[in-house]
Amino acid sequence: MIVVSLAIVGQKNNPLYIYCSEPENKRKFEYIIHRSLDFFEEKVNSNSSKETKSQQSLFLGLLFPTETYRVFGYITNTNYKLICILNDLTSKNEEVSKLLRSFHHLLIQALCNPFYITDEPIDSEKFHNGVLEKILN
Amino acid sequence: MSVSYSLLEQIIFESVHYVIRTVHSQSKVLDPEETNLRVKIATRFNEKEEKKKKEKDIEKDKEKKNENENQKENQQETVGNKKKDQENVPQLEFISSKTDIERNIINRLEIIGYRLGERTAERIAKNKPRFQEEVEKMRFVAKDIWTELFGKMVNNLRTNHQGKWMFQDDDFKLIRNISFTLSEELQNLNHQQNTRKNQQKQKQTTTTTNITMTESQKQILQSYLYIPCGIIRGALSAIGVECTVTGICEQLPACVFTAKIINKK
Repeated sequence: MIVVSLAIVGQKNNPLYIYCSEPENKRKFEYIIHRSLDFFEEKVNSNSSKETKSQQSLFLGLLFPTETYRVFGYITNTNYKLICILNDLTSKNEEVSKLLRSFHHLLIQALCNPFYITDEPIDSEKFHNGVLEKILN
Repeated sequence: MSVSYSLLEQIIFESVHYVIRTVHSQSKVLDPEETNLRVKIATRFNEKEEKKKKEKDIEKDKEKKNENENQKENQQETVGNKKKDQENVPQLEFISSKTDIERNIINRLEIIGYRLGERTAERIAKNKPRFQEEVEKMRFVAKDIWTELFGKMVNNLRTNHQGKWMFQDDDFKLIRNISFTLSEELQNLNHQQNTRKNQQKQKQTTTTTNITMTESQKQILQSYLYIPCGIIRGALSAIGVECTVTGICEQLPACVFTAKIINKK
């Protein structure tokens, strides 16, 4: 499972953190992330008559596939969106959801920093190192 | 407020002084320029102190003028204030028309609560399924956040179905152990005894001692409620509900927080 990019988008759809393993393609990933925000809204505002498990869970699953990448989404209760772009075609949903849950944990630790101002980009070194660790494992 | 700023400045000044001293203790030679700098810093600090003292005096004069204006309207409060001055207890003077200083303090307290509420909501909402209705969000605040911060749930959660929600806590932890000064308590007891004599005999079945309070005591207590108001507002805004929260305390351990939802259309 090769994580090509990870992004965190805030409550007002502002980007807080973008990590790309291939810095040359950064624009492309930003474009993909921007597109995926529409899918987030669609999934969140869908009909509430269908109360399936997917409605209640935070992991939204595969948002949409492009030619070479697969994009997974995860939305927290506080409307922070985690977007994960993978390069391979054989990863399972469970693995990705585990990964995104651990990113969520890192995100909470970064947000609880008393010197962190809401809606600012996340600059924390600890957060960045944690992300790199999780990706390399 | 101005007192605390001058303390901070003093601390900063002393730490700067210490740094200069340590740097020069290594070289063991005092440049004449540095001594001039120190003298300049000292004189500037003294000037600032004098300016702040003058500002303090001006503010006190303004407060006294406001008191005199409101004396006819609210006699009880000014009487309470005069007694406080006599006891020489440093407290905020509560005036019916809120001054800028008061509003500033209230804002700062509320923001402290707001940040607290946001971050606890983040932490606790991690393991919860997604909220779909407003009721669920309110219940989240009333149950989960209250147990996390205060060890118990809110006793009563009501709504008027038009965007107003009331959180009632019968034994609010933050104000449970507040007591007023002895003279005020005696006043209170006398008041209570008089009312009991006038009433017929009643069976005393209440276990918690609910103390009824005078207006001035309620106003003092009000300042302790700004932080929990901020907590509720922060937690709700983190979940996505924008609202304004006010808190009232009628009888001592019991208080009610009302949240009015702001509808953006």
